[in-house]
Amino acid sequence: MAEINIKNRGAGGGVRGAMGGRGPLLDVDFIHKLDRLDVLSRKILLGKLQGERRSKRKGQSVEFADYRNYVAGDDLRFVDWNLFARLDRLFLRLFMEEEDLSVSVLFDASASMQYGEPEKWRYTQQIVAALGYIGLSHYNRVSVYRFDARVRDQLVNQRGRQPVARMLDFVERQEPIEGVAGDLESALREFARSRPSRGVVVVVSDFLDKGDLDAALRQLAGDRFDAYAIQVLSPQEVDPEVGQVIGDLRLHDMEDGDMAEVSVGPALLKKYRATVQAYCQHVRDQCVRRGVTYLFTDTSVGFDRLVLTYLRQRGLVG
Amino acid sequence: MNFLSITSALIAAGITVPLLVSLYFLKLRRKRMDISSTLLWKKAIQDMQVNSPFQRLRKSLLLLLQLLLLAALLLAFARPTKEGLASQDGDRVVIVIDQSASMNVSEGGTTRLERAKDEARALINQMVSDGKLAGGVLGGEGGGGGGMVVGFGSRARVLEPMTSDPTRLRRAVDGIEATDGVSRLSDALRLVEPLAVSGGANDGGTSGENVAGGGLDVIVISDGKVSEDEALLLRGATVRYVKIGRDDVLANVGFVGMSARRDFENPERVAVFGELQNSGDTLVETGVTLLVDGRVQKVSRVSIPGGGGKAVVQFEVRLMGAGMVELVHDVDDALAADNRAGAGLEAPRDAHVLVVTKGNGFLVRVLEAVGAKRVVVMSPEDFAVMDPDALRRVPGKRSSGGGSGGGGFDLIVFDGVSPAVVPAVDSVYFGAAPPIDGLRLIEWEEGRAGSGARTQVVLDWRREEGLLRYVALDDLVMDKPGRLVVPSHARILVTGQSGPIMAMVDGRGDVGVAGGNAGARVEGHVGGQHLVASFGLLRSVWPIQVSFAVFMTNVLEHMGHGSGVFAGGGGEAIQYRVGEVAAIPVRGDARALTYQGEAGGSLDAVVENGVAMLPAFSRSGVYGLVNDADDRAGVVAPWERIAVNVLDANESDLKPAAALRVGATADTVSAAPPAVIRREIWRYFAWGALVVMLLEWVVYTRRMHL
Repeated sequence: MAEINIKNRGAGGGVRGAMGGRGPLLDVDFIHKLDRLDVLSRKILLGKLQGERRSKRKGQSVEFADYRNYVAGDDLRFVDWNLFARLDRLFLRLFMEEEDLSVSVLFDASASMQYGEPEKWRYTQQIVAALGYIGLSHYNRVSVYRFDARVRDQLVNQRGRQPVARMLDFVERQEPIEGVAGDLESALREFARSRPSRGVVVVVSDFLDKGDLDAALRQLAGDRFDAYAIQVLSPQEVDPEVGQVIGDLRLHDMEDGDMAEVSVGPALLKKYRATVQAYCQHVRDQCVRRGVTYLFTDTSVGFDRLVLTYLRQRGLVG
Repeated sequence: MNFLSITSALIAAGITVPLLVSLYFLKLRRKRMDISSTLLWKKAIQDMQVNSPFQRLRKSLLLLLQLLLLAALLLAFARPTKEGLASQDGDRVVIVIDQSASMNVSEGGTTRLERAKDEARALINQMVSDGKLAGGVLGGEGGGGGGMVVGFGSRARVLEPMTSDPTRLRRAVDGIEATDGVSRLSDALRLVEPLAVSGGANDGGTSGENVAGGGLDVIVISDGKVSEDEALLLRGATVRYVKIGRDDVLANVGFVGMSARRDFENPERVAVFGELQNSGDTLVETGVTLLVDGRVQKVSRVSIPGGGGKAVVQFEVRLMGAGMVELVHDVDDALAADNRAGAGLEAPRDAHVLVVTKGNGFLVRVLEAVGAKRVVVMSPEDFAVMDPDALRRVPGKRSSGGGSGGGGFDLIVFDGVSPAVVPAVDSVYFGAAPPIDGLRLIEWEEGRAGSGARTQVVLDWRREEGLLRYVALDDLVMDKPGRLVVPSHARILVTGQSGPIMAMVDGRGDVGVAGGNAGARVEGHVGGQHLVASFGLLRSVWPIQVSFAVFMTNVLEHMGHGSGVFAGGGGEAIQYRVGEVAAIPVRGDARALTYQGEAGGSLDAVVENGVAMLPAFSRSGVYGLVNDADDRAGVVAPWERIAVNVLDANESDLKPAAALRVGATADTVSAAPPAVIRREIWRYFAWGALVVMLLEWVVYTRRMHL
């Protein structure tokens, strides 16, 4: 079904967003590969609806899981009467619980995401689309949030393959707003206060945030969420020499309009590269501290490779 | 270096330097570039810029070069000047360099003369850079000037005539050698004076170049110790004195006077006097050593007060033969040339005199009385048969006792007897004359034209002649004196009413042929000096006058040994000063002599007529004959060694003079640089700015290619 919908929407066999002209967010071959994946969670998370996911909780599915001693008040329907006959003791049969998983994907739409070649924003859209597709195709509850200084737009509680197209269209339609600075802390706080379902939370951002990163990540801490942070940078940000950021320059911050006059020479380049390394390490350290799984990528890494390899390695999908 | 408009330059600097620096900050037209976030950049540059506001300046070679360029331009704008010669372009400069003994003093490792030469070279360079020498390195702005180099010591010499070629001037300066002479600046100024007077119409025709002239600058590079009795005069020129030498008084003790003389009564006793001068500030006690022929004879101690004080030291020593007497003091001082003084002494004169007379007791007694060792009286007849060769006394060979043939004679006195042949010995004739061409004695005859009165007196005589020294002829009355006809080369000593009464005739002409003794020619001998008096002794009152004895003493001193031209006869020491020439009596057949000085350098002389005239001495010390030891070339002692002394109080006083007095009004030419003007040298800074600009361009383009 989903495949048909996708085909209907995408010219050239892919899923093309409303903006058009930039190629499909997900092409057909890639979607086939995504079909074999599901979103995993390392934590026992209570879903609201029964889903396809074999929960770590014991439940009411047909799949036997275990026995336990009967205690008063247990549902007599689950007593194993055959065993009672043989052993004269009451045991309760436990079945695997199958439930849905809440997958929330927050993606950064601050102005800085427009930077880079390949563009960070498109790369982010593709990640969000892939994760959304994986979630929906396995009947998880998928919510997608676009944020900058706050949560700007969202598509929540989508389930099943039916809303795949809607989800992809939503993602495709989002655009960063020029000159709007990101504020990760306030955005995540707003997300957390919206009482989202417990589940997997994936934050896709460049994390070039001048605010308090620790305060931001604190919003994702705790048992409610199995959180992932995917930091997306462009190759030009990792190594300015690639982007010809050399010479006497007046650097303009795309988000807050801040200016920095620099004379970029070998010394400063060396210093900058070290600073990038240090900053990424800092973000990683903060994530680890708050129990958030951190993944770094730059847009020169193939998007499919990221999803099929790196995200699997990190245990986000499997 | 000074600046003519320093204020303007400072104002300009105050405006432009901050402007340049601020422009340097502002001039970067930074390219705007959008980036995702300045977060990382600011973190990166934070470390690089922290605590280092001038970091960029430090590393900016371009800014440094631009500041240098600006500095050069500002300096040029300030109109820098340097001191130059005050003369106008086209003026001529005469560099007069002192070569005297006091310039040999070493001060700080170099001698004054070397410093003077350095000054001269600097002056020449200055002249080149000032464009005074057309054809110089930079060419001439005004052109037309010229330079000349004159050196002076005891004598002044033009080392390089007026020329516009700096190379020749430098070569002349380089070639200046030290001498031990006294400073005769007046000679140098006299050399220069024609140039000054002529106003540069020509250069005296010496250089062969046509150097047009303006004024004349005379730059005297000296320590100012000039030995001048007369005032220095130079008209039509500007004199500048460049003082060489430090003002702190250099202690120096030197001989300023020396004499050695044999005792008249006892010629073997020699009295030696030395006068020492101490130019230092403190009293000096020193030993003075007397050496005879290099061997120490006596030592005496003497105290010489400071501040130019003098002291005399006196010795008496026995010296039988000829020898060299030297005085040396023990002080090791700045000037070595005046630390010793020497003099040569001839052997005591034991004059052998032959008197050819028909009888004249006065003459014999007087000769014996005035010191003739041996007086032989001979009649005209005996003389006529004598071998002319036997008459001449062989040098160095002592006669053994009496006898007419014993070793010859130093002097022959003919008393009223004319010899048939001119003897090869110095001779004196009273009332007679030798047969020399052009010389005739016409007997007095009553009424003969030209004979004059029967009794005559002396009208005039040459008092400056050595022979007539201390001789008064006012009272000389002669009876029937003859009339002398003398050859043109004769020297008339005494003149009477009827012409010459006494004359010195050089016998070197045709020697020997006279009368019937044809063929009795004396070959190979020097004719000697012949003193002819027109009157007979016994026909005058002279023999009984004191002046006759004095006269005969002079004769014995100045005649004899075949030559009367050398000094020092009769016990006087033979010594020369630097700058003097020496006449060496030569008895042998040598045609040339060579003397070697202690300070190096040899002097050559050609022997002519028994005399070798050595060129002027330039260094002090003892000059020795370097001919073969076996062949002394006919030079007798003490002439093999000649003492040349400084003996000048001015040269021994080493303190340089602060000023020279030159001019009719005795204007003082001080050593301060009064005659300098400032020459603008902004163009050098402009050139420097251009070079820096080129350098900056190179750096800029290299940076762009990086």
